[in-house]
Amino acid sequence: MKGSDNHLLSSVPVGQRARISAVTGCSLDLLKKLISMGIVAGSEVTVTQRGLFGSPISVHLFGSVLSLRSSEAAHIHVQSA
Amino acid sequence: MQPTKTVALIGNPNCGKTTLFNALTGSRYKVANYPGVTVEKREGLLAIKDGGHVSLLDLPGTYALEGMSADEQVVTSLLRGSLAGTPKPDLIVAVVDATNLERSLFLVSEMIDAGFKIVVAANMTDAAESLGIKVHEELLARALDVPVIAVSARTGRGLASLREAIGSGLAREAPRSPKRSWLPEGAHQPREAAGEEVARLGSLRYTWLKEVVARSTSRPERLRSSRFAATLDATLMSPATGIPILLATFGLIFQAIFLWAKAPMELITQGIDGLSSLITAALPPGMLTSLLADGVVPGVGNVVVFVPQIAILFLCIGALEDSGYLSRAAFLLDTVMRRVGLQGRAFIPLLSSFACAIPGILATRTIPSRSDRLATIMIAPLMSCSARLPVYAVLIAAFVPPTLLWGAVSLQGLVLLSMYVLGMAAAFVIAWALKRTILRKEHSFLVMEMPPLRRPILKVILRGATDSVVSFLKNATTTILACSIVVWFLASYPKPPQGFSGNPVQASYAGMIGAAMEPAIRPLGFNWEIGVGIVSSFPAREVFVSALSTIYNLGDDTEEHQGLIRALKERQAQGSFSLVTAVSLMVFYVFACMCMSTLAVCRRETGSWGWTAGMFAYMTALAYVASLITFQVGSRLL
Repeated sequence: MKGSDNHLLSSVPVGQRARISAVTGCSLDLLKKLISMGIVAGSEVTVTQRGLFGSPISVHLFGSVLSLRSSEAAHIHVQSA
Repeated sequence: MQPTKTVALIGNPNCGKTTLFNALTGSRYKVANYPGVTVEKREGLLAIKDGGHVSLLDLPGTYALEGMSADEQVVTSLLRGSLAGTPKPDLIVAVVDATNLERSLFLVSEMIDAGFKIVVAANMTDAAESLGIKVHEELLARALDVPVIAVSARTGRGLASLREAIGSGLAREAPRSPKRSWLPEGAHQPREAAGEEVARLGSLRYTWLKEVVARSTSRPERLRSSRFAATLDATLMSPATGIPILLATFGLIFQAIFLWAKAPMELITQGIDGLSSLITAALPPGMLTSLLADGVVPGVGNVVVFVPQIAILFLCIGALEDSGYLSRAAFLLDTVMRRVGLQGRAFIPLLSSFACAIPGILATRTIPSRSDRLATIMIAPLMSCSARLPVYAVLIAAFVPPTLLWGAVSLQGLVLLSMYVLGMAAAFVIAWALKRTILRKEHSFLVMEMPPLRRPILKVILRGATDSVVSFLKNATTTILACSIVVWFLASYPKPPQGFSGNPVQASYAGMIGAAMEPAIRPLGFNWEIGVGIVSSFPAREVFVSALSTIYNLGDDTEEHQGLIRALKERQAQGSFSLVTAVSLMVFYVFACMCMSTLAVCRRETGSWGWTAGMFAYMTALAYVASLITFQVGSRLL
């Protein structure tokens, strides 16, 4: 992971678009779940909402909206899109 | 003739499999707008072209072949051929959501790789078209190398072609070795791999799927999504506005249960009282007359009275379910749920438990973590179900004045709401304690899909409410009728000896049971009559209301029959049933585990007598202690 344009999905502000660059450091179960729902390197997401105290967050990707905890989003590396 | 071939509907959660199943087989299983409505396999008959029939399976939704939660694993084991009692399907109808093709096709491409015979049903084409997305069947079929039919299960479009495709699909040969078109040429064949490899392969598959979708659909630069829906969604989900809306919504439902149901309930009560009086007047006094006028009619009637309230409750829940709002509520509540060790996903099973704990406990199958699931099962029966509603409602109507606070808020509705809140608060404490002691935290994750917000479909809501009312009435005419007859018998015999003065019920078997219980329940503020009511309601909570009215009817020497609410008010005036007793009794019903079916389903879902006994024991202890405190404190204060 290099370059200044690399941050975690958990820190992307509401309304911003980002391109996923990698998913790392999570359990294999969570990884498989994320992949099956479209969270893979190359997918574009838009953060649409943030819950009470910042978690969970909801993101728009492909034709649907997913919600995930910020602890889960912290495994997802993104670049600005 | 028994069908010999099996066809399975498989797809992501909330892509309309059950709607399609209902449309194809003429069934009316529950559908709603959130992922995880269907948690079990269901079977129906599907007529295909040449007059034959095949067996059609409706299955829980899953995002991947390898399922994680209990409901997803049903699909995994079916496709492995290891689901007990069900053969491996001969053909899969892969249901995909046309508004979200890339994601839906992930599972389809996994199934193609696994060598299944597949027909793709691109569902929700009506919704896709209103967004401006057009799916070209032939192009998609060519890209995937399987037949594709565009359908809309809701409007019925394309169903005839789908039937035809299923027929010819069954006749087709199984595919030869799959092509794995998503793997770039010369790339390594996938094998069971570590995280990095899994992520790389997932990314490759999506890259290919994006290409397939781009080639086979046309869509405008910007989707024609409604600005209104987006604003509404943001308002509902943002904590600052969403949490007040959430509280107001549930507050309104409880208000509605009292205010709207009032008129129809009074009408039904008058009808029942009239019927009882009519029977007494028309038939000669005797055993049969007493059985009908004191046992059957008030017993069943006093439960039937609650049909309007049950109907309102289910209409409200149905509207919330079908609008997609429940997932927004789960999103908002995740923070709170996480504090007690649960997850937002547990919200839907818990909310279903307000209708009945049984579907609530079944819905926990969507929770992937076993410890989260067990904790949710254990607290589900603390959510006040519709069977408690009659008990609360009759006590509230008799003891709480119908005052309007601040001119608009019904005090009765507020008391009712507080009973529900009491159950929820206790549930959170229990869950917190469980997760800190026996059910140590295993890693769990939230990641769930938010269904689109939509205007609820009146037909779906009405059908759901009708089904619930019908099953409530069926229960009233079977279980409750049987219990009423037993209670009537126990409260009528043996007849008091000659010269016995006082309440004749006291000399009966029921009176003896009540007298035996009295020392234990006296500290809770309950007399022997209430004790008999509680004992008889162990099979089902509603029986309390019918048992009490039977006991009162037999005990009162007046010829005239009167509703339970009036009988209770009379006792309050005589001083034998106080407001504090009524509150203590409601608190008892909030906590007590009086439902055989709940215990049976808990045994089935946990697979353990230990958890089942634990549920019964902790709830009974909680009910006793909470009632004891309520009565002892309450009677000193008032």
